[in-house]
Formats: sequence, C-alpha cells, structure tokens
Amino acid sequence: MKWMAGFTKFWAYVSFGLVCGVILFLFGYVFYRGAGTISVEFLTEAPKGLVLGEEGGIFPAIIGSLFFTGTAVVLGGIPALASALYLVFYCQNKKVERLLHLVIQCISGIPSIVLGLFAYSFLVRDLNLGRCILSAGTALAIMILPFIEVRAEKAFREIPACMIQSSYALGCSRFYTITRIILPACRGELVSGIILGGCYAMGATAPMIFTGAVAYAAVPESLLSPAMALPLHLYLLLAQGATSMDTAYGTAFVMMAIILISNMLATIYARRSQKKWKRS
Amino acid sequence: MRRKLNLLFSLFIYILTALAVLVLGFVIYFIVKEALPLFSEVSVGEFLLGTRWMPIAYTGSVSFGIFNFIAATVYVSFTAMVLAVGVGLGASVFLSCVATDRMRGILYPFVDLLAGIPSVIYGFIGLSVLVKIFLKAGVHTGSCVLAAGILLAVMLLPFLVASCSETMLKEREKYEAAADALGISRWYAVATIILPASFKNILLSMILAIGRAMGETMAVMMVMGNSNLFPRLLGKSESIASVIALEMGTAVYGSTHYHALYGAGLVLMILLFLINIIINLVRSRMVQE
Amino acid sequence: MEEIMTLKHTSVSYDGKPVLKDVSMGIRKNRIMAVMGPSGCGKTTLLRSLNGLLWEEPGAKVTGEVLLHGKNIKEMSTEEVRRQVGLVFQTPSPFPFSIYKNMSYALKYYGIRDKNKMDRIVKEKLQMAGLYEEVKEELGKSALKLSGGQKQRLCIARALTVEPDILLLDEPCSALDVRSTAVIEGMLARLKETYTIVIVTHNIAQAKRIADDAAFVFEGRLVEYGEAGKLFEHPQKEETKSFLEGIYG
Repeated sequence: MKWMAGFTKFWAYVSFGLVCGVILFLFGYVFYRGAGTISVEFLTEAPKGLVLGEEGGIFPAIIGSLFFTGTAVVLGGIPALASALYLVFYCQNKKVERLLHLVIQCISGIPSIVLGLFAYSFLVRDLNLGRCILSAGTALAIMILPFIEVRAEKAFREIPACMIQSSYALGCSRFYTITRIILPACRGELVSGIILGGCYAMGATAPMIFTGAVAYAAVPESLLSPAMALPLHLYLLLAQGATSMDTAYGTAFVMMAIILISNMLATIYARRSQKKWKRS
Repeated sequence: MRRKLNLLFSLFIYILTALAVLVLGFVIYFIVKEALPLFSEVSVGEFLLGTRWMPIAYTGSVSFGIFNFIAATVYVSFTAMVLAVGVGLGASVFLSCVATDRMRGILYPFVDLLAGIPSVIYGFIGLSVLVKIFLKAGVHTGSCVLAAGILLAVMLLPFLVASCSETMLKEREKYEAAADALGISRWYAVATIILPASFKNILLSMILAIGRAMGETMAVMMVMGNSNLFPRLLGKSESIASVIALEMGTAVYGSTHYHALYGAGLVLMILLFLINIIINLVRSRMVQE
Repeated sequence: MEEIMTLKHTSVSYDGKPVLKDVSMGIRKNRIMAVMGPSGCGKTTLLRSLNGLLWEEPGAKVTGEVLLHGKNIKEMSTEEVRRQVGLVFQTPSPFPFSIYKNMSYALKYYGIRDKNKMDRIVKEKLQMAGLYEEVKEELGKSALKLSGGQKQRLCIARALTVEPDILLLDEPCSALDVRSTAVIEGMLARLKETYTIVIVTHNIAQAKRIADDAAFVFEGRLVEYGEAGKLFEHPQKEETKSFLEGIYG
C-alpha cells in the first residue's frame, strides 16, 4: 500500500502547482496584454469614436463602477452587519438562529441573474425608478449581503465570551459593548469583508445588465441616473467583435488591478486585528 | 439617555435583521408574480420538458420549452465540478498537510484571488485563450460546453479549496498525534485516514460548488455558444442564466416572452434553494451525529 | 450580622436540565465567602445568578428569589444590579485596549466626563488592586501586554471602578502561578474592609487562607455553609468531610 502514500503526495504537489500556475497565468496574461493600452488618457477620458471603445478611455465606466459598488456596499453592508450582530449578541432562541442562517444561505443561493430580474420587476418597473444606479445597486446589495454577513458573524464569534460578559457584568448595555469593544476589536475583519464584498459587487455583470448599467453614459450625477460599468463595458466590447480588443484588454487590466490591490488591502487589514487577545 | 440609545440601537438591529429576511420574501414574491402569467398560456410540463424555445413568431408559432437550458445548466455544472474536484482536493491536501501555518497565511489569500476575479474576465480569457485552442483542435467555432466547464471549474476552485482544506486541517489535528504515535508515515496517514474522514464534508462542498456553478452567468454565456441544443461536451448549448441575460433586454415588458424569462429564473432559483436546503439538512444531521 | 445578599430557594436550569437546586443562603457584609465544590457542581452558575448574568444566556431559567439589600433583583434594572454586584471571571479578560481605557470604560458609560475625577478614580482603584505602582508609568500601554496576574488584578480594579457593594470572583487564580495568587489573596484581604467578597474556588487551601465564611456546593445542592473555621474544623455533612479530605479532587 506504499504507492498510495506516494500517489497522494504527487497528486497534492501537482494540484497545488496547477492552482498556482492558473492564478499566475490569469493575472500575468491580462497584465501583459493590457499594459500597452494603459495611459493617463485611457484612465481619464470618455470613450470616443464611432464604434464603442475604438478610441478614448474608460473614465465614466470607472466612476460608474465606483457608484454601483458604493451603493451596494452601503445598502448591503449595513443590514449584513446588523444581522450578524443580531445573531451573535441578541438572538436568544436557537430556532430563530437556525432559521435566520437558512434564510441567509438561501439569499446567497439566489443566482445573480435572478436578482437582476427581481430588481427589474420591483425597482425599475413597479417603483418606476427606471434603469439607474440605485436599482442595480440594490440587486448587488442583496448579492453581497450574505457574503459580508458570514464574515462579520465569524469575526464576532471569535471574540472571547468572557470579554463580552465582563462588559455586561459592569452593567454596560449591549449598544455600549458593541460600539466600544466589539466593533473596534473586529475592525480589521469587518473592513476586509467589506472590501472583498465591494470587489464582488464591482465585478458582477449579470444583475446590472438590464437594471442600471448602459453601453454609454456620461459620469453619473445622481443615483437615479444610469451609468457605465467596467464589467459591462468589457462584455460589450467583446460582444461587438474584434474591433476594440486593445480597449478590452485595457479594461480588463484596470479591473484586475483593482481586484489585486483590494485583495492585498483586505488581507493586510484582516491580519492587523487578528486575535490580538489570543497571544496570551 | 444611554438607555434610550441602547433601545434605539436594538430596534435598529431588529428592523434591519427583519429586512434581511424580508428581502428573501420580496425576491421570491416578485419572481413568482412575474412568472405566473406564463402558466396561463404554457403548461408547466410543456415549459419544463419542451425543447423548442421560440419566443417570437418569425416563422411558425411561438413556443416556450426550457428543457435544453435546464439540461445545459446541470450538465455544465457537473462537468465543472468533476474537473475541479480532483485539483481542488489535491491542493487542499497540500494546504492542510504540507504547508506550515505561515505558508497558509500567504497561500490562502493567494488562492482566494481566484474568487475575486470577475466572471466577465473569466469569460474574456476563455474567449481569447480556451475557445481559440478548441477552434484549433477542430471544434466548430471553438465555443463549447467543455470550455464553459473548464472556466467554471477554475472559478469553483477557491471555494472547494477553502472548505475542503479547513475540514482536512481539523481532521489532521484530530488524528495526527495518534498516527505519529503509531509511526505511520504522513502521506500514508493522509491517504488512509484524513481523506476518508473528511469525505462527508467534501461531498457537501461539492454539492455547494454545483449550486454556485448553476447560478453563474457571464463566463458561461461568453464561451458556450448559446444555441438551444441538448448539451454535449464539445457542442454548443445555452444555460438558463444565459437565456435570461441575453433576451431580457429585448423582451417586451408584459409579453409572454418576458414572463417566460421570469419562469426560467424561477426554475433556476428553485433548483438552488433545493440544493441549499439539502445541504442544510445533511449538515444538521451531521452535527447531531 | 447584616446580610447584604440573600438567596431564597434559588434554582437554575439550562434547557430544562437543573444545574442548581433550591439554594438558600445569606452573604454577610464585609466578609469573604468562599464557595467550594468539585468542578461542574454548579458553583459558577450560583455566582452568575447573583448579578443577573444568567439573563444573558439563552436557555437559562432562574426561579426563586435573589435579594440584594432586601430587594428582589428581578425588580431592579439590570444596570443597577450589576453596578452593585461586580463580577470577575476565571480567565483574565482585559479589553483589547490600554490600561487606562480599560479602567475608564465603565466610568464613561456612567457619564463621568471630568478628566480629573476619572484620573483620581483610576489611580485609587488601581492602588486598591495593588497594581498602580507597577503600571503607573505606562497607563497607555495595551492591557494585553500585562502578565497573567497583572491582567487579573486589572480586571478586579476595573470591576471596582463602578463602586460595587459586592465583588464576585470566579476562580480568579486558577490560571495564575503561585506568586500572583499570593498577591491577589493579599489584596482580597485588604478589599474586604470596603467590599463584600464572594469567591468561587475548588482550591481548599486557598479557601482556608482567606475565607471568613464558606459554602460547599455538590451536584447542584448547597450542602452546608457557615463560618469558615467551623466548617473546616467540624463539617456537619458526610459529603463536605469527604470533599475536604480530597476525595472529589
């Protein structure tokens, strides 16, 4: 049976090498092909030319993506933190807790395209908001709600129970305990969860195709106007054929750079607050 | 004052938590509401089992059958999971049984990068690399189910690796001392103790991964060719999510076509809820054991 | 002698499983009462029922009365009860910020804004806990960097900042070495002039060293309680005797 040990070892090393190779390839490929397109003009100008993306830059798409992401983070992040706090510090009933977990799991199971359908029917049509940042942002918010909730809940549960009870034992309220101890102690994990949630929202295309993102628009002025978004811009450039491949690679470069930087920031933040109290 | 603040805050928390629950209800309500009118024109059986999808009467009559789309969604997700699981498990073994704590601190965020890459970029790279390879290999136009399966497999890797390596790490901590005491070599212990012990959790992660894959839209849509055919590995096909994303923009509000797209969304959502409920049941069973 | 706290037929159950059965006893002012018993006998639960901390725990159900200065604590506000009954846990649990902020945490909550007054209280309570001399130069240092014994004394000092009448201690020395334990025991002997102390311990030697009164809890029942000297010399019940002889370890 010695071959099993050898085989497992071989398999583990090869698999992990493969995973690393894929990651390096994906980033390397996009950065290599896109680097030529990146310039100050590309980042700060609007698209020009007869065909989309033939000339000019992607500035409105960058700003548009920031608007979509910001809306999603605010609308999705706050209820996510609230339900995580509820589950850890308020909920006294095991059944309610289990139910809430199931609900959150189900929300995370809703495909993003279906969230787009929901936002279209409810916000774009029934509430008559039209295709706008708010409509699409709401769909994205629902998408990232469970994502942030799970991370926040995990961070809250890692705080030692006796620390929380020490605060209660001094007569301090939950509100005071949460704002003075819990949130500061988990700040790193929370910030990192929100950054990653934001990235997730920024990269999603499906929920915004028919709810707020458009092929061409100026820099948005309010949440009730439609806007361009990086992922949809990239998709449209590809869908129209091979005319604007350089712009496509440039757009992909920008998105990958944002992802890479955000992930690094998130890792650093998460590490900074990691279990200071566990050292002893 | 401080008592009022506390009360206000509790209220705030309760309301927002209730909101999160309501959101689920809202989504279900609106999808069902928009899907229902369809079934006064098309029977459920016809919708689920029909293979003709002809939303606009160019030639002949309209017809709404999504069987091929359902089949494609399930087929591509299984393909992806099968492709991902071998590599994913191997990498999990590496992370949980080879890497030191410090290495894990770097490697986990590194592997997580895969989860951060937007699906449209996966689709883009799929188009400009995978599809070209398939084209050279003789697949007509290069777009095919296998290309989508490979892309999806890469997208599933970080989730599989995260959950599997966590399980394996726990199992390893449980058995390591005993295995060492018996003088069993590490790799033999991995193969004969840790992997079998993690089996149930790995299975759960696999089901969860299929769920994730089924909901994926952009990457699949960009490389699968999008034609209403029963899925074959090297043939074109179209997933439920792709149909919705492609046709929602042109469907006339309130038309049967529009309702049919919501119907397709409903089917997809129900499939995913079923998966999540199964996972939940199995998991609570496991906890009880 | 004045009874500052009285338990009348107090029972506690978790999810229907009884943990504490019909306990009645009095806690006397300015004395140290040691509650002893083997681990898992319910002595920690007993302690937690005294300041309403069990109300925070899902599934815990308390029946009977706990009287504080003759008043049922269920009729008082949570804040009022906990302000008068301080509690320090087994594991030293300083908050993850500076020593000074640990000390001023509850003061700020109770609305003390005057910096001078706050400084004075912080200093006074740290002195009471015998920690001031060791940390006076570095009050801004993270409390997590203190040694185990120092952390525990900080927690005691922190509990004192809200001016409780009673201080409950849940095996405060079980995580500490012999020297830190001796320091804390010395401190408790001084503190009883101002406060009433209830200390849970499974360490008989420790109870003998510091206690004025002693109680023995076994399998959720209060077996006997009274003056420490009498209880140690002439235990009335067979179970107490066995425990003191070290049979339940």
